[in-house]
Amino acid sequence: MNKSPKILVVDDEPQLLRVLRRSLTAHRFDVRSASEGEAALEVFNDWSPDLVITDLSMPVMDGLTLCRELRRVSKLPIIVLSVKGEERTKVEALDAGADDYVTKPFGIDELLARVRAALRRAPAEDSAHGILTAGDFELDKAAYRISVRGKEVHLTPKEFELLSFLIENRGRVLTHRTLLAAVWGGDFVLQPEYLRVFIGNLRKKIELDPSNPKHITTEPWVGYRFDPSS
Amino acid sequence: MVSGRVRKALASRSTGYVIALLGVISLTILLEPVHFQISPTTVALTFLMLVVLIATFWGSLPALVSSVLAMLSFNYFFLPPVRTWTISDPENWVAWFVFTVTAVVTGQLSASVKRRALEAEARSREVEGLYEQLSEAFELASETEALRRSERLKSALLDAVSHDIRTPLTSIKASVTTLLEDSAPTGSAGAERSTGLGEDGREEMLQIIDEETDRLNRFVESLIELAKIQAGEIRPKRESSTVGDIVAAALSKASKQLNDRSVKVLIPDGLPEIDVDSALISEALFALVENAAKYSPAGEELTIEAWSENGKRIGFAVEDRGPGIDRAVREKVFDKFYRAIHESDAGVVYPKGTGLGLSIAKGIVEAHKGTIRALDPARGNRGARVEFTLPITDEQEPENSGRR
Repeated sequence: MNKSPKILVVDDEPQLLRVLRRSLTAHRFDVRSASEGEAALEVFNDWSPDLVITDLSMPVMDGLTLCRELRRVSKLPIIVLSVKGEERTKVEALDAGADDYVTKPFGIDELLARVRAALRRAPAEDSAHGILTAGDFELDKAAYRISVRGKEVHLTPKEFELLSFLIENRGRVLTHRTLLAAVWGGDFVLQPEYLRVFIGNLRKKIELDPSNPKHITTEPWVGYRFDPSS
Repeated sequence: MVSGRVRKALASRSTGYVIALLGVISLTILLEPVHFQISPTTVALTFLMLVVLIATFWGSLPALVSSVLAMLSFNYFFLPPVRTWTISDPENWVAWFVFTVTAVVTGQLSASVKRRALEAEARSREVEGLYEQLSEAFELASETEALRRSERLKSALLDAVSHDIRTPLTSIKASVTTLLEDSAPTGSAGAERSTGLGEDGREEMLQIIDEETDRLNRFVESLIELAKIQAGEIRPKRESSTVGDIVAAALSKASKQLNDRSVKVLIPDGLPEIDVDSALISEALFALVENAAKYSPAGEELTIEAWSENGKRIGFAVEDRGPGIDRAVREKVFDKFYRAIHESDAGVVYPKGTGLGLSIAKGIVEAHKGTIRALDPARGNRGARVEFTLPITDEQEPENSGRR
């Protein structure tokens, strides 16, 4: 990757934009900023950034609407900046297609780590020969097989669907709603207890220490995140 | 003393019949020996009285019974020829007939009056009961409503305070961690990809930290100031001041907020000096100016105006050419943390600033026994006007000065 990844930062707080512009530029990102969603969409159309970092509450067009608008036309990674007290909106933004969130106030290293993770994941979507390798995991959808650390795991059909969805969306924060809709279909989205049972079973099969999971981590009140690395 | 049970027994209808019988008999025994000395009219009237009494206390049926008994007794003992059921004199026939009709009708009428009175009493008791229930329900409902509203207010206050504290903190934290990362030894995560902030970048981060800590401090100061005003801790140190000095002080304090905006100052000549705490009043005026600058587009002119009311009060007003203040919220703008907020899908968007300015101004003005309000602009048809008026002197000065 020779070209600097392009990041669009959207926030209505000018001081924070100043910090992020400086900081991200120092880390070899190409940065532009906007103070609300509509301006952000204009920059997006002119500049086609590789990633968007957006605040949630902004005048004119808020972050949630921006997420929805962006998802209609693009799969680019979106990281949401939220504050405590905005949990519901944050989950809605994740449901609407945001990939991850960082809670304000945040350390710049945390934001950078999320940015890198989101950018790393983005181009690896297409898998050679239908086999997707990510960290400890190997997913062969055609053969209906998943291997962890070189060993095939025995999964029920639903567990297979859930784990392959997690592997395909590794690194993203996946809300309960997203997971339920993806694996069980729209009718089950209101029954998160299904999910808890299946996640528990999956952890027993793939984690080295199921009581201290490293691959499937819980995002409290939001959902789960899958990290394939060892 | 008549016990409750006896009173109840007395009130029952069968008692009424017994009383009717006994009454007629005793009246007969009483009057019969003297019936030669008194006219039948007296006897008839006495019986009528009995009937009315029985009707009043025991109702229409005992009254009817007593009427019949009285009619019989009147005929047998008192109308000649006495001790017979016959009546010789046609005049006495008329007397007997009139008596009977009168007794029955009066009895029934008194009984129905009594019944109506009882009904009315019952109705009024019922209405009273209903009213009590209703007012209890109202009280309960309004208490719940007040509680609910104060809970909502509390959480809105908390949201506002945490927003005002967290916004500068977010910039500070991001700047500091950027600086820390920049100075971290190479080899730490991500450092190999960093070009470094450079002198400029470090300078800017430090500047931001400086500005944002000031912003936090300003917020804390205004919170404390407001708390003091509300606790009544601020007693104005009144001294003779001129309106011009107060306006000038407010404008110089607001130079940052005003940027290069033009401000029209309208102060008529010959305004009297006023006995106020000039530092506090210019603070209040500053809050009005800051508010006007915040809610009107950059570059739009502001107007500051002062006037005298009959030489007894002095008024100050600040007008802007912004969107104006909706009539419905003109009282609320002086509430703590009230802001012209913009509700969106993602929650509440706060304009810059603390939302404390106008409530501080209100506190100061009220500490001077003045009044403050939001109005339509006096000139032009667009914008907002906030004005306050103060008495020129504190009439109760001697009383107050002792407490300072």
